[in-house]
Amino acid sequence: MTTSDHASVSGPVARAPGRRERLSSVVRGFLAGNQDDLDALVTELTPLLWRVARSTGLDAASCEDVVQQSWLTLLNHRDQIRTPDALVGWLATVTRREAVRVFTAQGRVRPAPDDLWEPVPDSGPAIEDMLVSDERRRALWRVVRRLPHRCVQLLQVIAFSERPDYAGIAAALGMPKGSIGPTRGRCLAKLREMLLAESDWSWR
Amino acid sequence: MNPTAADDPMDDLDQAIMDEVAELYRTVDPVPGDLVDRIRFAVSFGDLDAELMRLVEQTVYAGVRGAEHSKIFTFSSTLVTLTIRAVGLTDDTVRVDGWLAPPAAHRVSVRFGADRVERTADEDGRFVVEQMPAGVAQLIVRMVNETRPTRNVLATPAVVL
Repeated sequence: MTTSDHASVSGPVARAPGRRERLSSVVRGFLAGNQDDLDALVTELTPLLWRVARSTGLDAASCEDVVQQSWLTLLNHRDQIRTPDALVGWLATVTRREAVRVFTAQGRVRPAPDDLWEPVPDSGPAIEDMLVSDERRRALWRVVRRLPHRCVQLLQVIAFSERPDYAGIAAALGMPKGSIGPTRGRCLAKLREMLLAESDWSWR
Repeated sequence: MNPTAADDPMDDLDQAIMDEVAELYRTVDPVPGDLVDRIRFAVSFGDLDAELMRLVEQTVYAGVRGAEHSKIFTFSSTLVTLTIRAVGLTDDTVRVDGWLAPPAAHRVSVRFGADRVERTADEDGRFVVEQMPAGVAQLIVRMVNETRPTRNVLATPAVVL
């Protein structure tokens, strides 16, 4: 894909091509059996898998086991990964499936599909428990906690993803491929609207 | 072109917000400090075709009134279940008792750091590591008399003993 038309966009998007190429070469190295490349992959992608696991509502200790298990599972199934691009979606899918399995095994009830547009009853540490002195960030957290479940789930995961991986991420989150764009747009619009009402928030 | 396709560019503001959301999550719910290292250790045992055991249960008993703290882990695979109990001996060493079911005299390696100890289970499937460092460890089971041509090596996830 070409990226020249995105040249004006700042942040991770502008960095994507470099990361992308590096990731592709690392995945090829891993598929060829190179341990250093596997190490690099673990370092690069564990933060994303952590969010995928945590976005299911599963507790942190269980998520540690789930994410590790996903990496070990990859070792056994590396012959299923034919292209570097497929790897991220594959890992995210395995991670989410395992997290949901453990969550259900713990006797927790997942929200019904109709409730996915409601705010999450408990979506993380309350503001007063946060060791965050930055008022601006506290304002963002207040708003994120009030977002609909589906938005919290999606935004925290794609915040750690590259755009070319969105299709794989959508599949991992059980969202139709075509709905991730509209959903992201809707969630970001909602987030922006709610931030406007936050006096501690300022647009930089 | 569909204006809401998944790979549509976001505007600068949306992108800036996504960057802040990422930063927010790194602050409020970071990847636990040792997780990446633990995973790198777990995937470094060198046999990519080993069957991975799943951690199915772990129980931690805190040491009360002078009793040692202990941890029990149960791992399962298609053919073998492995249970280990790690009992704290000193601040930084543990004793490990293991049971394999069904019982068999399999070879067991316990990896820690760059080191490992090797044991052969007795015919009841039991093995003991009298003393080893506390901390991150992984167990590798090499099955004897296993007729499968491959996957006769089993590896657990890395756990903190």
